[in-house]
Amino acid sequence: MSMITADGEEESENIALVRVVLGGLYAIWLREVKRAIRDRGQLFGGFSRPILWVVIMGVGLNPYFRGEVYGEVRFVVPYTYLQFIFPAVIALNILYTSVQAAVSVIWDREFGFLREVLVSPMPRSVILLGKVLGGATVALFHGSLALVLSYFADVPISPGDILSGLGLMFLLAFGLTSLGVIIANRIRSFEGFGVFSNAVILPLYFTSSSVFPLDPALTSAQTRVVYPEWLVRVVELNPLTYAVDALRGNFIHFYQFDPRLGPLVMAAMAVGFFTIALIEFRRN
Amino acid sequence: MARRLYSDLGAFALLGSLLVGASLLQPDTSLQLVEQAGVLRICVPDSFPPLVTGVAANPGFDVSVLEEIAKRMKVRLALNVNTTMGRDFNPGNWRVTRAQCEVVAGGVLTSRTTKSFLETIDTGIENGWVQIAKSGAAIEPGKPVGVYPGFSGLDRLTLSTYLREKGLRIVLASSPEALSQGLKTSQYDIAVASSLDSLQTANALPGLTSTWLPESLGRFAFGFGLWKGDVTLKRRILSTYRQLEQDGFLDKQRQRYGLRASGPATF
Repeated sequence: MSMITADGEEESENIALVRVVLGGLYAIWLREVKRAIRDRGQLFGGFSRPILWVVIMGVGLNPYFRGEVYGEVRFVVPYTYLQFIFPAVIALNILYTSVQAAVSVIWDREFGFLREVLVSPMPRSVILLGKVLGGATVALFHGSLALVLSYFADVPISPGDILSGLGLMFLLAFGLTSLGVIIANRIRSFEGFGVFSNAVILPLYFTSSSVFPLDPALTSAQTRVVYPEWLVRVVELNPLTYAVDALRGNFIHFYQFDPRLGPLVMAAMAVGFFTIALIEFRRN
Repeated sequence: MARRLYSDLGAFALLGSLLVGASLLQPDTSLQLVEQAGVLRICVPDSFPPLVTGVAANPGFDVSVLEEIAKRMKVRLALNVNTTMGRDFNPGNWRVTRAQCEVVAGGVLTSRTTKSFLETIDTGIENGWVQIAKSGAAIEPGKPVGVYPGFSGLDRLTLSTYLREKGLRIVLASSPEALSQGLKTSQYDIAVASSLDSLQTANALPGLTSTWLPESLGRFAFGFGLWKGDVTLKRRILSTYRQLEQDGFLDKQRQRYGLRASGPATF
């Protein structure tokens, strides 16, 4: 026969509460993942983007960046154009999927599901965390799809590169899904979200040194001679620049900036965007 | 429920096979063009022993290896000898272009700078400054040291600073033969040259020992250069090169030309 003390009761209550919260977190995460898997449009986008960007655009532009004369450097990066854009395409796939994943917030608000979840005993932070984790998981999967093209792009990847790459990709996906939630909190319609998210995604991507390199051998002043100052400034201010640089460093071992900056900026994005999303999620 | 699952899995399989299929496409036409022409053209300097010698019986390590690679690729090897290669400090002035050859050999450094305009295949042969000395000779301040800087592209300024810091008196030699002559006549007992240039001196004067100077003075790997972007040709040459490594062909060639996979050239 066992005796239950007051402390024991409190402890078992806490464990039960943690179980309920974790169960709820899992349910929300699973719902997000299932919804994304069954969304054929999103799935098609995840598969088609690497093909379009690496196979079509990469091969199409590759001859313009290849060597023609010994000693003549036409493309400052010691890699082919295909190798150069390969990590950026991983970031692009994560960017699109993460931001689009937040459309579920509008969807849930529109159909009343969000109200039902919000009246449950689960804390709002856990509800948001479940949604963001779900979106980040799907984005991580979509980002990983680009890795299938590593042989085509002539990027040899070791198991260690894959592991560290997945860590960086998840960090990026978490931050960007939180950004998507921030956008979704401000937009009331699906159409508006689509237009606004594209207006965020494409400029972020194109100004992240994803399709053109800032020569790391040049000084800051020299770079401003090659490119207009406003463009260099925009690239340097764009946080995605450092995420793309971290992925590039991980997969092709080439950094344009200090290697410590990438993970730092990504971690700051994840914490910062999630905090803002949480404040707004609680307020709304 | 099961129908929906099959439908989801079907969509996955279809899109996944599309992606895998795309990854198997050829990213360029470089290999196809070589196979169609039946010729692999290489640009080499007229002489850069022991990588290129200009002697038919022993044409040099790079030429012998590429000859075998071409044979295994079932194409003919054509040499495009460029006398300006290595004679000018600016490689742009050598005017070696894609139109002349698919592979550049005979002293291509597989450095980061080279990789800005070439795809490189490392042959594991290193070049750097070496000290060649008569037995018992040691570096001492005030002693003369023969130096042949050559055309290897190694950093002469750093070498000069290093030798002056050691308090050595530098005696410049204009050729490997002149360097050998200085050792022979005991003008100096220690000489410095690039690892590959030191081979010629060693052949002329048996009994010398060679040691690397510090790595901070610069040490580079040699290799073959293919034009940047020629991925399919690089893959084919690299896979054939690995076969040569496995079946011992490369070891035989290294012995033949007095080279090691790494470390200074053997005497």
